[in-house]
Amino acid sequence: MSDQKRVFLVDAFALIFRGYYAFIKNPRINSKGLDTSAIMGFMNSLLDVIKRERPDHLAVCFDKGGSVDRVEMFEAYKANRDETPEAIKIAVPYIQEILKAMHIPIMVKEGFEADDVIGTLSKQAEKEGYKTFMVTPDKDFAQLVSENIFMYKPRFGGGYDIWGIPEVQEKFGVETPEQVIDFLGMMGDSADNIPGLPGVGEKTAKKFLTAYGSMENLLANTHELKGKMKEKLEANGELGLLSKKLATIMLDVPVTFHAKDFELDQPDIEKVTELFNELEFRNLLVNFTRTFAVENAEKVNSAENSSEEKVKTVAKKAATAPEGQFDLFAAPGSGSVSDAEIASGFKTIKNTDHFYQHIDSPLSRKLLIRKLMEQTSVCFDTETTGLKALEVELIGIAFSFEKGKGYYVSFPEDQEETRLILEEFRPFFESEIEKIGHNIKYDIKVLSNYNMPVRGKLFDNCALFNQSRYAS
Amino acid sequence: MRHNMDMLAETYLNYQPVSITELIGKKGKNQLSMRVVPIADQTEYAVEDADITFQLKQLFTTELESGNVTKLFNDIELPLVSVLTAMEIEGINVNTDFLKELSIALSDDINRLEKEIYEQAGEEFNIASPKQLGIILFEKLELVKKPKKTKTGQYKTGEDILSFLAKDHKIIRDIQEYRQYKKLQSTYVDALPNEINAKTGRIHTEYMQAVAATGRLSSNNPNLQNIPIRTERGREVRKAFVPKDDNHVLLAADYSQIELRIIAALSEEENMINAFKNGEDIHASTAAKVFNVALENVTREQRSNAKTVNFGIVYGVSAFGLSNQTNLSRSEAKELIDTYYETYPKLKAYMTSQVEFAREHGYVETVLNRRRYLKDINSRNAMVRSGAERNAVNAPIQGSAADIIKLAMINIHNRFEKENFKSKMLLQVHDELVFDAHKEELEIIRPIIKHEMENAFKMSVPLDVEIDLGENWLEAH
Repeated sequence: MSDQKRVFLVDAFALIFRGYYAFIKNPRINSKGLDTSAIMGFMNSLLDVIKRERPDHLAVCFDKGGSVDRVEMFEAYKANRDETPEAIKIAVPYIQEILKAMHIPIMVKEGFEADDVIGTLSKQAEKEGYKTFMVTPDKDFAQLVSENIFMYKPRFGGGYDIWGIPEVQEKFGVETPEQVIDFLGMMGDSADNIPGLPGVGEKTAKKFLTAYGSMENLLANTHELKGKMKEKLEANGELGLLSKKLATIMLDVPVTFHAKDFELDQPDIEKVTELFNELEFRNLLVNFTRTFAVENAEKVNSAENSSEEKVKTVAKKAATAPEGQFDLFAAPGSGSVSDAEIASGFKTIKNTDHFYQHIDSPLSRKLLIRKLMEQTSVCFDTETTGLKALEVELIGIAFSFEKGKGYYVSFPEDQEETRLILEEFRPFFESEIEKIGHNIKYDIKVLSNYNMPVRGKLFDNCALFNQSRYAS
Repeated sequence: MRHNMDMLAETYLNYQPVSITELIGKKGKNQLSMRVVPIADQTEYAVEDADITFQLKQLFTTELESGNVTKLFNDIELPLVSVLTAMEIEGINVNTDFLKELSIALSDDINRLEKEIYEQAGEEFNIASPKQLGIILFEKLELVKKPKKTKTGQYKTGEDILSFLAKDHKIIRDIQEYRQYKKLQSTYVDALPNEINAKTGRIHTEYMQAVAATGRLSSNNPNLQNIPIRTERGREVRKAFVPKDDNHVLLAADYSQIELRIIAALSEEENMINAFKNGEDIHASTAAKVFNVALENVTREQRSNAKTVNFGIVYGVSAFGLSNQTNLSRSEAKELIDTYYETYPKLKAYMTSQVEFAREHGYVETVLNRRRYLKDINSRNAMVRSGAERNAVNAPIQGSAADIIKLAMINIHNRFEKENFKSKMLLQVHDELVFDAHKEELEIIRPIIKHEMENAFKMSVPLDVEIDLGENWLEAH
């Protein structure tokens, strides 16, 4: 990672709409009957970005009153839009309230669209030496991309694409990002009701751009064209230029980038908790506390370690991956999980007293079996080579009959030997002792592969779960 | 399953277990086998699971008592675990040759339909592409004046849209059929052979007890609850399920009209209870009462309409829904429903009382106190609320049916174990049980199955079970 500071500018409405439609088939309605889909969708995206990127600076930009200039230019601009859904209208004040509690600046300028606000801010930040990421799924932003300005585009189905110059060149078939404006102007945009050039779609627009480079140059050279297209373009030059203007994101909105104001700060946890509780965002609250708990831990860390970044990363890795090599397989970004857990209030194996023993000799097995036979109720859990119970091999069985204590019997790859060791446990499995499991059908089936029946009373947490009051 | 446990641990124990991905990596090709994980890590991970499961059990035992469901859990859900395990291990034979033939037949059907659709469209296009299909239907053929569009500007071509047009346009009916066959072929006919266990040569469905909110079982790998039975081709999939060998036949035992019997009993609706007690044809009997004609003068159409209402009532059918399913106009449907409630007045009273109970307590219960919590019952949103209200009526009915068939399964399983029968219970689908019945045991097990199912739970309405045999599931059904 370079030392350049990073600013994230979030296109609020684009993410709100996106969040809202993500839940459209199954809207989130809380017990008060409030449709919280849009709020939840937006907050999920926002926390996701914070967790993934840990931006130094962050602001969320809203539209207010639409674009006065564009409507003045072209009355029909965005006139085809459906009425904003009720749930989104309700969502905006809640989201702004939450952002305030999170101490995240809200950027909005009456009479301007968020696009223009983001455009202006990113160019200003670029001048001050920052790297800007515009968090939006809206392709129109591609025109702003530069060496220091990127699109941070949520991918359908999770994750993000980062669009820099090469990506924009490839997606739009342009040489410079600015040509995206020409591209949009030529083909128009039905979502914004930008007319574009009649008869020009994506393919033709790309062809024209390759040949002429810009709208103006195309219109100046229509004599090179033939037939219908020539007629159409010659008759509609004005419309083309207007469309280009409409598609141009403004860079002179009266807003100012103050780095200090955009610094990602500690949120007012109490206030956010209160808001989330009111909205009944249980999981989101966990997610939130975890996100900012890491933040905390890191801050403490870096305060203690004056020698910065490197030490921090090494320390984190050491904490989660005692075996070194396993870090290779850790999920991306999971390096700081353990800090998060401790700080988020969940207990984990690392901060909980436990005594788990590996059993691997005939004598220790004998002692374990003797102990098992004295119990009235024992939990057991198999470890295997896969998921299909009737096709897998047994690797180990864990037993527990006392909180915080348990035993792990491992089995060799040799199946004959496995069978023999398992036989030692027959008295237990055939006994009347209650057997507890989580999806115990799986474990019984695994043992059935070795002709080991499981008798006695069974208890399965899985089988009961939706009888719980907390089941949804 | 594991995921589920992590959630339980976080919720109930405020504890976050070691994640499996930390140990062996994410799901997929590169996931490691547990075998290569150092034994110390295996121990920590595996015993933690057992430890947590043990702790959760202690907690849930208390939770069950406070929710007054200990009996349900001890008498049904827990004993059922062994029954389901035995059924899963047993598995069922599948005739792969037949499936291959069926797949070819379906391909023929699909090709034929494709040609007919192209012909009606006047050109070839990709029927599976909603975009292309929309353009053909709404731009080229202009079947509708103002077609609905999706957010992205495409025409909507979903089943809900097509079903309204089906009556008037052959091309729509052909497309619906085409889609059905495609779905059938990919999800069942071609997929079932992949589910066959290499060692046993059989299919071993997995049952889940706690997924369906009603208490019904659901199944997976493959999901047998969803095999279509309303179309002929769909039913044919059942032909692929065959007996173990020549010494066995498949036996299917099916509760008839169990949900209607339950609602009759729960509502204490004498008119309906008596019809069941007298062994009357319930749909004809309902028709006679509703249309005010003598039982022997009920027409086929009247019976069929009464049948639709009888089945629909449990699901809170509306006049709108009923008129869609029958030839009745909206107002005729409304009149039919009104008369229905007049005929069976206690039914309506029962339904109202269930909704009121839910509003007050936040849940409804089955005959064996299985609860369904309905958090939306007081929602301000009328759509959401009415959904919860329908569930308040429906959950006790469906849930009681689930209670009853689960009890029957436990009793049958225990009887079979005790008598050491060669015959085995194999499947549970909807209100039906399927067995590999050993031919020599047929005379003994047939009455046992019927008796255990019909007497699993005593109500003021007798339960009725129909048993059939066959060389495949369709024949037995």
